[in-house]
Amino acid sequence: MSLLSHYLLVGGSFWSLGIWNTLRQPLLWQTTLAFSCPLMLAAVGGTISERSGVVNIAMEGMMLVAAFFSAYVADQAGTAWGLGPPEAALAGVAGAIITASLIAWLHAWACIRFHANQVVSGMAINLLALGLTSYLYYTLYGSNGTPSNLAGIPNVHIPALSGISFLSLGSILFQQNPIVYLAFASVVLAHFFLFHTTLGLRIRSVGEHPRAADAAGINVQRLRYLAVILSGALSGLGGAYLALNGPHGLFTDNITGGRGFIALAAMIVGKWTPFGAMGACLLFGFGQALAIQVAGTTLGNFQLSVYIVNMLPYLITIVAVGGLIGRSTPPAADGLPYDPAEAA
Amino acid sequence: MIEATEARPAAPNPSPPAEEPHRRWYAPLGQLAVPLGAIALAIIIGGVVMGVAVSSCQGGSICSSGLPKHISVPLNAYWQLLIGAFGTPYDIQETLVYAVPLMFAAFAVAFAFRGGLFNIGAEGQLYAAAIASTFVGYSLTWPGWILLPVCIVVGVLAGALWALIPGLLKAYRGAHEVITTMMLNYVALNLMHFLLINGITGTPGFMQGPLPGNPISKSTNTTFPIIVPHSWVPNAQLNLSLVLALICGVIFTFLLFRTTLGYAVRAVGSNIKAARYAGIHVNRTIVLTMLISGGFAGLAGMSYVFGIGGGQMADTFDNFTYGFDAIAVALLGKNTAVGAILAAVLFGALDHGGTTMQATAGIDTHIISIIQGLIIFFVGAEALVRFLGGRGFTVTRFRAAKPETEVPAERAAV
Amino acid sequence: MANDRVSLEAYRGQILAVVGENGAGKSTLMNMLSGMLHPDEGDILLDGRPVQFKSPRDAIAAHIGMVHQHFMLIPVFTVAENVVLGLEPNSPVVFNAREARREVGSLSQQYGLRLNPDDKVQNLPVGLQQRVEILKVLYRGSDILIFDEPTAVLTPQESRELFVVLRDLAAQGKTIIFITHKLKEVMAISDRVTVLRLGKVVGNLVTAETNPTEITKYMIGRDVLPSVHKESPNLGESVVEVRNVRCQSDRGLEALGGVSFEVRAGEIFGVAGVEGNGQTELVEVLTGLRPVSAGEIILRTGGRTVSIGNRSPKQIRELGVGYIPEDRRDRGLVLGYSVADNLILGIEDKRPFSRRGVMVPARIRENARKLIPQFDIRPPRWAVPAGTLSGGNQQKVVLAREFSENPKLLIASQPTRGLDIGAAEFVHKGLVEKRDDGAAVLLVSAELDEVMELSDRIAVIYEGQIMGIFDAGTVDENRLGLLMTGGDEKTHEQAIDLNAPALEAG
Repeated sequence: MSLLSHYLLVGGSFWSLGIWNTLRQPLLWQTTLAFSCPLMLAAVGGTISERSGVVNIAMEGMMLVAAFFSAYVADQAGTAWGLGPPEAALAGVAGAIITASLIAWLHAWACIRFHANQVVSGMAINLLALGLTSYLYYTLYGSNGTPSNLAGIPNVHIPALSGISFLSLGSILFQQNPIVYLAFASVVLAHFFLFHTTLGLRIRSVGEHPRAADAAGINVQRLRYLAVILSGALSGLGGAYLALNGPHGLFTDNITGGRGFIALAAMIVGKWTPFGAMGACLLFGFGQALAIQVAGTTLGNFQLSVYIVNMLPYLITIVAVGGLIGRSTPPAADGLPYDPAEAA
Repeated sequence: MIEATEARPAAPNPSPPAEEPHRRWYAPLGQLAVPLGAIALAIIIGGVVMGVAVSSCQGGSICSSGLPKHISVPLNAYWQLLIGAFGTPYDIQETLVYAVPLMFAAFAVAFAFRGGLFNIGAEGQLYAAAIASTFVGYSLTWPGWILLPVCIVVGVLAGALWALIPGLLKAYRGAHEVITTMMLNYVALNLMHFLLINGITGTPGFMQGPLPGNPISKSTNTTFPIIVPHSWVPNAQLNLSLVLALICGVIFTFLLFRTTLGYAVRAVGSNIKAARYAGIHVNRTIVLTMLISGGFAGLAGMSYVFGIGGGQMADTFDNFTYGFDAIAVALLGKNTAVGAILAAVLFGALDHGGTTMQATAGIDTHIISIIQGLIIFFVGAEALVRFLGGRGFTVTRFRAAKPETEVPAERAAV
Repeated sequence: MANDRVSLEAYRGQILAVVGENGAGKSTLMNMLSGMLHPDEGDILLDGRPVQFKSPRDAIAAHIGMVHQHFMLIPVFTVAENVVLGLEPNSPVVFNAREARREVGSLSQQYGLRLNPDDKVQNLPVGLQQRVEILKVLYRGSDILIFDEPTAVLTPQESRELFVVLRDLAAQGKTIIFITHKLKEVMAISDRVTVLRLGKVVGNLVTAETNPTEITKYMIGRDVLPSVHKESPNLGESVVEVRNVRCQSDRGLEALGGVSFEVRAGEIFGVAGVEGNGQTELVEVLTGLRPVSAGEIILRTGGRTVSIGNRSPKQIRELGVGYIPEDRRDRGLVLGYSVADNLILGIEDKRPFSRRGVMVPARIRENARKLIPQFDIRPPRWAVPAGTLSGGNQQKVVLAREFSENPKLLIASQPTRGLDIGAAEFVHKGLVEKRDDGAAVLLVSAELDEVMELSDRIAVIYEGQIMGIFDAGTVDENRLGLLMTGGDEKTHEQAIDLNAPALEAG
C-alpha cells in the first residue's frame, strides 16, 4: 500500500517538474527492468536466508565475487578451453553461481557452526570480496582490463510478443536479457517455495522459532545452511548478470557499487517476502534508471550533475527504510544463533 | 487476547555458579588470544593466496634462498612488508601517519559498538567532515592557532551531523543503521566528487582548486604542524594530529567508563529493556551515541585533509578503506581505546609496508585488503579461532553475560 | 550435574507425577526422555528394552511425546501447521494444507480438544495453545506423554479441564508423566509420585498411600512448609490511587479497560490473575513504561500529590517508586555489568555516585560493599558480572537496589519466579519488612498461593478489568480462581468440577 503511494509521489513530483516526457521513453522502463534484475536476485536470496533466521549482509560481496569469476571463467572457457561464446558465457554463469555458493557456505559455516555475529561475518565477507576481486583483477588483468571479446549474454527478442507496440510494451518487456526473466521467475518460485512447499514451511519455522522446529524433529542447522547457500546461488546469478550482460562481458573494479546493500534494503521494504522484495527492487531500479536518463539534462535553469543524480537511488533507499514503510518485522529468530544445548 | 508466556525458565542449577572470572594479573592477556589468533590466521591465509597467485618471487634475498615458490613468495612479501613498515625512522613515522585517521575512525566505530550500534558510515562521516572543514579552512583567513582549532570543531560537528540522520531514524523509526549509514556513505562520496569535479563539462567544482580539471580542492590556510624535527627525518609527515588522536583515546575511555552518559550508552548497548526500565532515555542515548561516533569519524576526515593531505582535499580518498578498516581495527582492539590505537598502528604498518611490498616484491597491494578482511572475519567468528587454536584457549561456557568488548549480539532488523 | 543417577518408572495407563523444587532436575530429566538432551550415564528402558535417543526424532519414533511448559509453537502459523510440522501428511514437495487441516480437525474431535485447525496460534488463549501442544504429540502417535508444569499458565478451571483430558488419555491406555511442584495437583490426579531433590531421586510413592506433608518432607528435607510470619497491617494514607485507567497492549488492543484501586502505606496489595490479563501492562503504566490512554494515576508521597500517568520512568522513580520487574534478566539487570554497576542502575546519575555527569567509582564500590552482605549476595564480589550469578542472587541484587532507595511505593512483579524456596523466602521477608516500614507494596503474581499468603488485600484482574477487591482472609482460593476466569458461572464447567473436593482437601 505504501509502496504504491511512494510510486505516486515520485511520479507526481517528476511530472510537476516538467519531465513527463522522460517517463514516456521506453528506454527508461527497459533500463528499470535491467537495473532491477541483479537487485531482485540478491533480494530474493536474502529473503530466503533471513526467513531461515540467518542475517545475510554479504550479498554485496557474493555478487562481486560472482561477477569476477563469471568473467574469469568465461574468459578461460573462451581461450583455454576453446568454447564458443554462448557456451563460454554459460560456463561463466556456472562459475559465478558456484563461487557465490561457496562464499555463502563460508558465511553459513561461521554463523551456524561457530555462532559468529552474523552482521560482522557479512561485513567481513564484503571486505574480503572487495579485496580479493580487486587483487585478482589487477594481478590477472593488469591495466588492460578484461578482454574486449569476452563472451557475454545478449538480450533476446521473444518472437511475436516483442512486436507489441501498445505503450511500447513489446520492446520493454520482451526484449530483455534472459537473466532478467530468470529473476522474475525466481521471485515466483521463491514465493511458491517458501509458502506452499513443505520445505518452505520448515524453513520458515526455523526462522521463527528454531527450538520449536528442533523439538518437531527438524534439522535446524541443515535447513539454515540450505537457505544461505541458496541465497548465495541467487546472488551469484545476479553477479554474473552484472558482468556478462550484453554482447560482451566486462568486469571492472567494484562493479557492484553497493547494489548488494540496496538489495538488502529492498528485502526489508518488501517485508521479507519475495513479491515485496520485487516491488521494492523495481522501485530502486527505476530510481537508478531515472538517474541515468536525467543526468546532464536541463531541469529548469540548471543542469543536473551526474553526481547529484547518482545520489538519488541511495536517498530513495534511506527514505524507504526510514520513513514510509513503517516498521516491518523480520522473522522472529532472525539474527540469533541457535544453540541446542541451551537449557530448555 | 492472552498470549503465551515467554518467561525465562530457571537454570537447573542447584549448586552455586562455578564460573567466576579470573582475578589474576594475567587475566586480561586472555583477551589477546582471539585478536592475535585472528591476525595469525589471516597472515597465513594471505600467504597462501600469494603463494598460489604470484608466478615468481622477486626483489629480496629470500627469493634466492632455494625454498619452493609457494613458501618463498609469501615469506619474502611479508619480510618486505615488515621492512617497509618499520625499517627506517621515516617508515616508522609514515606508518603512524597512516594509522592516525584509522584511530579516529576506530574510536567512532568502537563507540557505536559499545552502544549496540553498527556504524558502517564512518567513511561518509569523514567525507562530510573533510568537506566542511576544508571549506572553512580556505574561506577564513584567521591565524593558524585559531583557525586550526576552529576547523577541528567544524570537522567534529560535520561528522556528527552526518551521523545524526541514521541516529534519528534508528531511534524513532527503528531503521537499521547498517543500511542508512551505508547509503549515506555513497551520498557523501558523490557529494565530494560533485564539489570537486562537478561532472558537468565546462563547470568547475564548487570547491575546486585553481587548476581546473584537477580534482583537488583549494588549499586551506592552515595545516597541522609536523611534530618530527627535520633533523631526524627530512620528509616527515607525522603531525600534531597524532597527539590529538591520543587525546581522543583518553576522551573515549573517559566518556565511556567515567560518565553517566557512557553508562547509559553501554547499558543501551547491553540490554535495552533494562536501560529503559532504569529510566535511561533510550532514544536520546541512541542519537547521542551516533552523534559522538560521527564526531570521532569527522576527526578522521579532518585530520586527513589537514595532515597528510597538506591542506587540500583530493579526489583520492581511497575507496572506502578508512571507514571499513576502522571496523576491523575496532573489533581487533575489542572496542577499547588502547586496543584501537594498537590495531590502528598494525593496519598502518600493513598499509605503508604494503606499498613497499608492491614496489620491491611486485605483489599487488590489494592483498592487504584481503588480509584485513580476513582479520575481521576471524575476529567476528572468534569461536572459529578458538576451535582452530585448540585447547590453548579457554572457552567460557556460560552465555548469559554479554561481555561488552564483543560485538553487540545484534537482533538485526536487517 | 543436573541429574545424578536418576531412575524412575512409569506404568501404562497410569499417571506419574514427578515433583521437586525449582532446580531439582525435573526439566533436565524430561529433556533426556524426550531426546533434547543426552544422558551422560545410565539407560532409558522402554517396555523393558533399553533405548537411545540421539535427537527428538528418535524419542518421537519411540512414541514418547513431550508437552513443553514453554510452548514450542510458531505463533504466526496456524494450529494445523504447528501440529503437522515435521511430519506433514502426504506432502513430499508441495505442502498439502487441506490434508493437514483434515487430519488435525478429526484428531481434535477424537480427543475432545475442540480446536480449529485454521486459527493462528498467536490468537489463541493460553489454555488452547496448550491443547495444540497436546495435539502435536497425539498426532505423532505418542503412547507416553510427558507434561512439564502444564498448569503454570492455566487458571484453576482450565487446570481442571486439563485433568479431565489427562484422565481420558490414561483411560485410553496412554502413559502420562507429569512434572509439577504443586502438591494439590499431585494428590488430585496422579497414581504414583516420584520426588526429586537436588538432582537425585529421593522417593517413589503411591499417591493413594501418601499425603502432601510427607511429599514435602521428601522435597525439601524439612518438616514444615515455611510461611511468612506477618503482623496485622499498620495502615497509613493512600499512597497511589489508580482511577479508571485504560491503556493499550503492544498490538493495539485494549489491555486495561478502566481499572481503579488504591494502595495504602503499610499494606501489601496483591493482584492475582493468570498471566496475560493485563497485569504486565498495569505495572508498566505505573512505572512509566507504557502510556495511559485514559484515566489518572495519583501518587501521594512526601507531602506532594502528583499525577504520574504518562511520566517518564526516571521521573516516577525519583518520586519514590521502586520496581522489581518480573523478568530480572531482561529488565532488571544489565547482565554484562558488574554487580556494583547494577546496584546503581537507575540512580547512576545521582550523588554520590556521580557528580555532574562524571561517575565516582569509589562511591559505587562503597555502595556495593555495603549492600552485598546486607542482602547476602553470593558470591560477595562487587566486580563480578551479574550474568554469572544464580537466579536467586540476581534477584537479591535487584532487591538490594530497589530497597536501598527506600521507596514509598514498591511494585513487585512475579518476584519469586524461578527462585528456589530459600531465595523466595528471602524475597517474601523483604516485602513484608518494607510493608512494616510503612511503604505501600503492590504485589503482582500468578502464584495464587503467594498472593494469598502475603497480601493484606487482594484484587483479581481478568481481561484488563478488576473483578473484585477483598480483604485477606475473607476469600478462598476457589472464589479467587473463579474470578480469575471472569466470574461468569459457566455451569458446564462446574459440572466438570470433579476434583473440587480433592483440591480443597489438599
